[in-house]
Amino acid sequence: MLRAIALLLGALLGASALYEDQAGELDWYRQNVGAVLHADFHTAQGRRLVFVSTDVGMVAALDATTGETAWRQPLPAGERIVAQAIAPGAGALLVGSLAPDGALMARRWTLDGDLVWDVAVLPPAPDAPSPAALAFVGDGAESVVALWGASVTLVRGHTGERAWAWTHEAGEVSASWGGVHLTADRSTLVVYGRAGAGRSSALARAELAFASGAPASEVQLARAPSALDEADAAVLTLEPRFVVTLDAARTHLVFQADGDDGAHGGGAVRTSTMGAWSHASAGAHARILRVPLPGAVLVRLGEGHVVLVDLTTGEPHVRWEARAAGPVAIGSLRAGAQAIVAAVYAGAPAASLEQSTVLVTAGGAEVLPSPSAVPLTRGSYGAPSALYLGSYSKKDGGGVVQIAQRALLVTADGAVHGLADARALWAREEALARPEQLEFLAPPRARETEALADGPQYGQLLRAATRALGVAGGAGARPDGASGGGGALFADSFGFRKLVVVRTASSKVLALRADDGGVAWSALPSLDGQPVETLTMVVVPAPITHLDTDLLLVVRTLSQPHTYAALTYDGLTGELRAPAHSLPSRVLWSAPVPASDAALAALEAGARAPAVGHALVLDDFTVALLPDTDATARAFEAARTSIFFYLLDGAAGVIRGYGFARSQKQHGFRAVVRWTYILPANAHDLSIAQLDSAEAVHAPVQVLGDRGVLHKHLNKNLVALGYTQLDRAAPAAGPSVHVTVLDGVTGAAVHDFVQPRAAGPVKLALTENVVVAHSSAVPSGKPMLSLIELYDNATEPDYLAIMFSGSDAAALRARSSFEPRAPFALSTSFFVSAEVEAMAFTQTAKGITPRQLMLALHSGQMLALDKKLLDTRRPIGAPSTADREEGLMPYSPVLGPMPLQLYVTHGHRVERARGVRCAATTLESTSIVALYGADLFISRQSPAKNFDMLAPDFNKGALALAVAALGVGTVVTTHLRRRQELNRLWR
Amino acid sequence: MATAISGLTSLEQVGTTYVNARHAIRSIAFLKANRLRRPDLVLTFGLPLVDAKGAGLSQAESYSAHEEVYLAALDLDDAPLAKRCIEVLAGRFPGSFRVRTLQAMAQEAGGRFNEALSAYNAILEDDPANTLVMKRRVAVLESMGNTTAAAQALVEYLALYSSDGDAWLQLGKIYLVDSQYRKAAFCYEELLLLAPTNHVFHTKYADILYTLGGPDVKTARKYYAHSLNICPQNNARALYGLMMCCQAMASAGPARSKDKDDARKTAALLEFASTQLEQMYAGKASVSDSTVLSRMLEGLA
Repeated sequence: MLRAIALLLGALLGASALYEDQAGELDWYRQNVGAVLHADFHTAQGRRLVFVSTDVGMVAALDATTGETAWRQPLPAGERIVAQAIAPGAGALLVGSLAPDGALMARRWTLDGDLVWDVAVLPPAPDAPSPAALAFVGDGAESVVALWGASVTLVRGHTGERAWAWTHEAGEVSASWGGVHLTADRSTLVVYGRAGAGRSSALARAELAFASGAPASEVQLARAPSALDEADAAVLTLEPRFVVTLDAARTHLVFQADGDDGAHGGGAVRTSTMGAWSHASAGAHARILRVPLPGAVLVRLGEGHVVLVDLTTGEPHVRWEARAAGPVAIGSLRAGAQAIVAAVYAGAPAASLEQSTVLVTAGGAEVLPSPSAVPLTRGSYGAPSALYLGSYSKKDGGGVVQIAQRALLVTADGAVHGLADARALWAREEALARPEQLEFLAPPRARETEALADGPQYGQLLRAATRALGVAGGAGARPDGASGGGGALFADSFGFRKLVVVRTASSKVLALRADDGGVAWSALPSLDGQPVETLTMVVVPAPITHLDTDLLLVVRTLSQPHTYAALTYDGLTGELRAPAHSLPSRVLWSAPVPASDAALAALEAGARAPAVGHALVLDDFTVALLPDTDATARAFEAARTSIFFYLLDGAAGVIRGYGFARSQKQHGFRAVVRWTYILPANAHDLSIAQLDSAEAVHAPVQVLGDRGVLHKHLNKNLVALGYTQLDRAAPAAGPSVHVTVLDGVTGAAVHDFVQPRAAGPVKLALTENVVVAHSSAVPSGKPMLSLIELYDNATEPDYLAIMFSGSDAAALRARSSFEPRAPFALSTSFFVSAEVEAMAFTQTAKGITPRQLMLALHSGQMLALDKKLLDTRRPIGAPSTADREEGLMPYSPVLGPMPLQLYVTHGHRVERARGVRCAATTLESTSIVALYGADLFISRQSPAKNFDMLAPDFNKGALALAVAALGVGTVVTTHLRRRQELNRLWR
Repeated sequence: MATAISGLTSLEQVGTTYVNARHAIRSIAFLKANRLRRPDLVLTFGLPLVDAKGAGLSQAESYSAHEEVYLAALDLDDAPLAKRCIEVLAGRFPGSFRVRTLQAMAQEAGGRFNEALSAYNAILEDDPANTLVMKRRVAVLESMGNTTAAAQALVEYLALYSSDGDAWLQLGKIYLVDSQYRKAAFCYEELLLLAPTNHVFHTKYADILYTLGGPDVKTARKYYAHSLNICPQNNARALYGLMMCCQAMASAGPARSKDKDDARKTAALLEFASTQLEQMYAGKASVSDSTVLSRMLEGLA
């Protein structure tokens, strides 16, 4: 039956999917791995790989030479990776992660990316402290040791089998294990940590039988001279081995020598005063880096100051201090009994990076000659945050094999760089793995006098010719030659060429070209060189289409107290338009100020001064205008009575609508409350969505099968609010999902929809007169879509207007929210087969093309659902003749299974999918859709097929040939006809 | 009135000098359409076209120009030029009936009527419905003075093309020359059917009926009156014929009681015609009293 429905759907819906040969041409997919947390270099079968685990829960192998992804495996959502080890001999990659439920997960992968086993180590107690440590012991990483407070668990590395667990139970003196060491004869596992608290703190050492976990002796405690740091676990160095930790004040290094034979165990606990090492050192920020070195330890005294301490003397070997503000990134490479430590830090000037390398042996440390400058390929990446080293052998000119270094550098923006031999081999913009916001940005249209617009209507030959001749603008470049990596573009004739601007969690903003996915520009905002957090990004559309669109970023510094500022970037080039505009507080809401007619005229005439202003509502509800000029104030004054906004106070369960009024201050405005909507006290999982004000609507009515019409309730100010509510009076009924449709200007409740026995979080999407809400059924947890369609009570259409202008303008005009209109609603609900993370309706230039609802599924795929599937009027039972004529399918409570061609992502998976965005193109048939999460997928979507463009496989050659043949035929037959006519006349 | 061809409406516009090929073509076409037999002008315009071998013209126009120049050369007895033209045409259209007809017309122009007639007959054997040749054959026979054969040829022609008014007219003329009035009257009856509003044909038909005399005089009077009805002004021949008919009827003898009324009308018509003629010749002819005339005609029916 389901198969039959699927077949029927396939037949009815047709294929709006790509053809095989269009894959990669009309769509593209960008796979990210995220910012690297752990990395191990390894060369296998002649391929140099670096195995990484990242902050978005990905385990991946990257080609160390090219940076390409060899394979990638995502961990379940929410897991945080805490450890990684590679056992090349065993062909194993072991990764430890902390699951959301508190379990410690250990996984073993082959070096080809296949999962061998996974095992969960549950916390020893439900309230066990976090974090736990995960260590891989043995040369072949043959065992996984989970250290969790006082508990030690051993998992056999080959099978994933949990071998034994041991917990130090000593009453009040409970231990916190931090390091583990397997003796050379593989018989004893020695664990190190600290025990006790306050003045009774001690360094702890326990010996356990490797096979059984039985303690070989009592736990050895060495009393420390002062209270020990309880935040971080103790660190164990390589041979000569020391257990190292900090005191509670983090001003002293506390360490104790140790040895396999236990000779040093229980030796004297020594301390070193870190204050003597640097004037800016020690204090709350000091911590020991978990880098295993022979008899030495790395201590980060502050963000920009790292010290290598020789524990045999307790004195520092090497100090690294960033010359400019910024952290020092440390990487290490263990080579037998030796280790190499490299540090990368900001040099002077701050834009450059310097590297310093030290060889650490049991006898001391030696600074190696190394390239002092670290070249980064391009873009702004921020300070270095982490460094990973690897080695590889290479032959020099004389055939002598040398060991060379290879490094993976992670910068503050999350980008990952491959470095080798003082060269930057590649860079991956891994900030894109954590997108916060995605916006489409339309490039400006070229003025007719400026450039030859690049468009398919000129034909391939002309384009090729203009490229060959180097005609400016022929390839879509700016005529002035300004281009950011070839990224600055003019709009093409079809509107396919757009920029996709992504604001990332690392505050970096990247602009990608929507047609090929290349990075057009990227920017890491900063204030006076200080790193900042980007709070909001607003696209400020250009008032006329010949100008670049601006991007307004509201940022705040990371240092306390926060400093707020607004930064305006040129959306096309990524250049900063103006100096940062300081703001006294955070911004609640912002909107562009409509440009006046005079300003528009000046812009059309070629004025370069920014004529568009921006209004920012600050924390105290005053309005800050950008730029703060009289002209902006006048423009805002002219428009303020028609600008409204609302703020959702989720904690208080209140939505407030605001308008604007003059304030006492000269040219001052403030936001004033116009309306308040109070949610029920037990409402939770609030979500809110509004109509896209730029959405084009073509038809104010919906024509029915019986030639009747339904008048859509079209109101650009509609706001949909979704929440879950549990009726306390009847808790047995279960929670229900409410969708309240409000008018954003007046606060009037337009409609209230209740889906009983459902729970949030509610995801909403709006278009025209339609609201779609996604929730889960209770108690089955099945995802479902609820559909609400609002219609006005029938009024007689303006037939004369339809006759003369083709449409009923009165019905399409923007109606005032103050007009009393009571719509009626039709609603229905469907179960869907997959959980939905986000959804959006396709947008087209004129709104003529039927819309599709694009669903970002939890599985990482994007599903395109035709609006005719989601129709509130799908008849229950046999459809009538009118229903059939209208194409209404019989109602089925379950939508699915869906034909494969509706999955527009095809073989791609967008991991951690979190949003869908749609943008209209100039071609009415086509909408650009973006699915973003850890990956990014962009495609063109044509819900009604490409009715306004030639198919890509259209044979232009045959057309040209046919036209030429017709031309030749016409000439020949004309000649023949004349000759025949002449002969007939002279017969 | 001249027929407007290619924007030319009068001979003044055509001019007498060659301007360019396009103008020349238009001028020749104008002369032909208006049946203006001006071989001098045709040569003025056509000779440069022939000399230039049709440069700037389509093939059809070029050969048409050669044909017109050839006919003009025949008219002007310019044999070398005619030969030049016919060689071009015969070379391009070997065996063409049209060219053979043109060659026969050269024989006609040279007075070699028998040869021309043989040529025409030969063409007609191959193309029995060739109107031009059939007409040329009539012309040759007339030129030879053999009106009987010419009439016979015309009858054959009219058996095929009975709507050719010119042929009926020509046949009528031949019969008149041969005093075969009944046959001539038949020809004019056909002409009246083809052109019922042409008062000349009415008048001419009435003339023939009057010539036949007897009862046909009364019918002749009717047709004279009809001619006057169509063309009331400056139609002296019809007035004169009407008067003659009336006089002939008045002098035919005493009228019976039935004809008394007719005799009165005849007298009135005579009076009318004579008055009109007098006025016409006195230069005072005014609009005829059509009311009187119409009443008369009713009475004559």
